[in-house]
Amino acid sequence: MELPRLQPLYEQYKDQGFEVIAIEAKRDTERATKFIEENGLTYTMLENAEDDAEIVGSIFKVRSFPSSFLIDRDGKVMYFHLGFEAGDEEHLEEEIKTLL
Amino acid sequence: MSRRITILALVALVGLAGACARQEQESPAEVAWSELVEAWNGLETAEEKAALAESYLAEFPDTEHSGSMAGVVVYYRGHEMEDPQGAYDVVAPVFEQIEDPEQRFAVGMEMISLADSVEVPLELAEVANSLGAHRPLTYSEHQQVFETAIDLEEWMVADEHSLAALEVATPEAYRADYPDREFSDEDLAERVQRRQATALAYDGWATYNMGDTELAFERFAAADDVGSVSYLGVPNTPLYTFWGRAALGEGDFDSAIEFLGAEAAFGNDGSGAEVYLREAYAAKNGDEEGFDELLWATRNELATTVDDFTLLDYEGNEISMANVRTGKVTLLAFWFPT
Repeated sequence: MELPRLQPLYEQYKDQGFEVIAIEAKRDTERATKFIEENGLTYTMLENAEDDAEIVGSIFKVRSFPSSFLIDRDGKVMYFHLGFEAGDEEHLEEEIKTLL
Repeated sequence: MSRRITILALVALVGLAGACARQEQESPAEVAWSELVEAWNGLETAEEKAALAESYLAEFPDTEHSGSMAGVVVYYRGHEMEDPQGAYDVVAPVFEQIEDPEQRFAVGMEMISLADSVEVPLELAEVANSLGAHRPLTYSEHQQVFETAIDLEEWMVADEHSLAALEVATPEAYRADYPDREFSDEDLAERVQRRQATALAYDGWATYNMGDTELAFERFAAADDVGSVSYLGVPNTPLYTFWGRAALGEGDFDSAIEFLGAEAAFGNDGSGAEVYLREAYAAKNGDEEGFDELLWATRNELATTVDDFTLLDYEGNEISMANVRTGKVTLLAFWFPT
């Protein structure tokens, strides 16, 4: 799964100004909190809102999961990553280092 | 790429079907299914997941879960454990024992998905037609067929099913596919547009490979007119990858670089555009010098500023995106628990 693989990246680069924001799309609060706790995830975890306030589909047009956007210090969306398999984090790390 | 998405949907389905199965009187297969769903949540490794699905299939080859269990075997044994032959050897005898046309289609498609590494004596067109003789295929089934056909370079099959998919890319059909969900008109229109653009883009690529360049470029232009775009402002279909590759094939390197550049700039979306962009760039300039700069420049040119939003964290605090990300490099990850 993607999220636990992001934890080491977060810990390694947070002091250089790297932030992770994970948004749970389906408001499955019970399983989400259990998963977060079991995997010791310490970055920002948010839950999608309901109906008109939901942002995952309406703003970000995300239909497939897991999907990630990498945003630079000026707020520009510089990279998109769909899916997550073993080894993908190495490529992601390169992108993060380039932007930091 | 689509495989990874499929498996997530599938795992969600395992949970859902499990919840339903417990309500009524249960057959041995249903009891075993409930146990499988229960056990599934505790499994960690691909080996464990493949083994669980395999033991279910060995005992109950012909159930409504045959297709999804074959999917689990193909994904975990075939891909994660890199043993496609082993996955095939499990799934092929299951296929022989299935009567239900729905499950035969599902399992048959799983077998064919292994065809790039294993000898599969099964025709894609036949698998599709045998379900088609039973009932009309849905958009998603046509899509599964045309995507597979493109992978296998079976252009006529891809052409047939992308055109058939276009026929059923309607709001009515979309609603019928998701009877339990409600869609606003705007949302529905967007989803239907995406289906139309996808079918047109794939048909363009099939048509191009069948030798009708003019019609292929008409299809690409039509897909572009439908205009289904992602958050990054580029098509959320493989349109630019196919269009760019066709332009590359015609020796139009500038168009190829333009189309493929937009697709490749933003990284791994599964399109594989970067390989072809590199080829187009080298063909135009004689070598690859300056390629990375081109990617970076394209990215800077096309990149848009992220939208702000406010959501709750799990302690009930309102967190604003702008506050967290200001001055930082931020990874925004969308997920759900499976």
